[in-house]
Amino acid sequence: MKTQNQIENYMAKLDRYLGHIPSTEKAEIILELNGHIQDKLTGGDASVEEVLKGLGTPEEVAKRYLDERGLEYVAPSAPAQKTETAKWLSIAFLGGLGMVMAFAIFIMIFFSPIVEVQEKEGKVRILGGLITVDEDMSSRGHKKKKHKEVKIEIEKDIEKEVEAGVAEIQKEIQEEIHKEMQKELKEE
Amino acid sequence: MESYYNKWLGQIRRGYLELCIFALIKQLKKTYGFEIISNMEKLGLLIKEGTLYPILNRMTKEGHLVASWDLQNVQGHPRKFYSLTAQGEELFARMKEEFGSMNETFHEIKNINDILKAETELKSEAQEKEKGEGENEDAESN
Repeated sequence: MKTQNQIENYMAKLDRYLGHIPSTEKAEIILELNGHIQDKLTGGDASVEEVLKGLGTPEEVAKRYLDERGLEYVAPSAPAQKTETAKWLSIAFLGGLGMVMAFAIFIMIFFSPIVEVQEKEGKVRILGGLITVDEDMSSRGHKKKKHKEVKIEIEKDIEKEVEAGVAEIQKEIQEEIHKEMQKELKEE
Repeated sequence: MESYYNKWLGQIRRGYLELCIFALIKQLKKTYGFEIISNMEKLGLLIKEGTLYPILNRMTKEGHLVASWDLQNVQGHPRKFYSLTAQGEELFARMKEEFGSMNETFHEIKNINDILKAETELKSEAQEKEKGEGENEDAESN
């Protein structure tokens, strides 16, 4: 049991150090070396420690495999792996955010203007023409009449008020003149 | 001196090892890593497994060897067997030829003085012959 643990520990390290080699190939490498170790253990009287030592450290073996492929050995470490995860997470997050933003901008351009009132045609375009409300469809004529009526009423009101205002001012002025004249007459 | 020797040994062994691996696989037709190492050991060539397996890996990846997993007829665990491909055969033939001519050249080096001596002798002989012919021509024209 202890032997198997030592071999597994060795292979786990090797797996990590093999870095960028595809995982199916890594699995074959490990299976093959594992078989070699078994052969050595059954064939001779060497201990696991000796057999593993003879193989070289996992780092050395990984380096050889990478060298043969013209790949560079990158020493992995526990914190390095953490930052690696963080790096990919942040890339995924920023990517997602970017996509959402791009979609939002697209929506804004596609559906702009949000509300546009076209008075001449009596239409209201909502979300860049996605919805067009035509006043004719409801009671446009009726509404227009109403508008006119209100306008006339307001105009009349204004006229009345102006007339009233003017009359009041005229009255005041007349009263003033009247008073002045009476004063002058008294002084005389 | 020792470091110079070690560096040289590493360089020359490298290519030699690959040639021997090809040669052994060709002889055995189909073999696996452990068998290669133990057979080389019998012949006096020590290869560390940490060196052999990466080389086999690259040879296979480059198409010179073909690997197959044998899950039957083996005790306990699967083994990865290697054979030469046609491309590997062709490559090995070229390597062997090159290695042969390198070896020949190396052995010829010790004979270089004799070769040079023979060359100068040949040259002077040829010159004398030419001279002699010239004299004959002169005699004829007179």
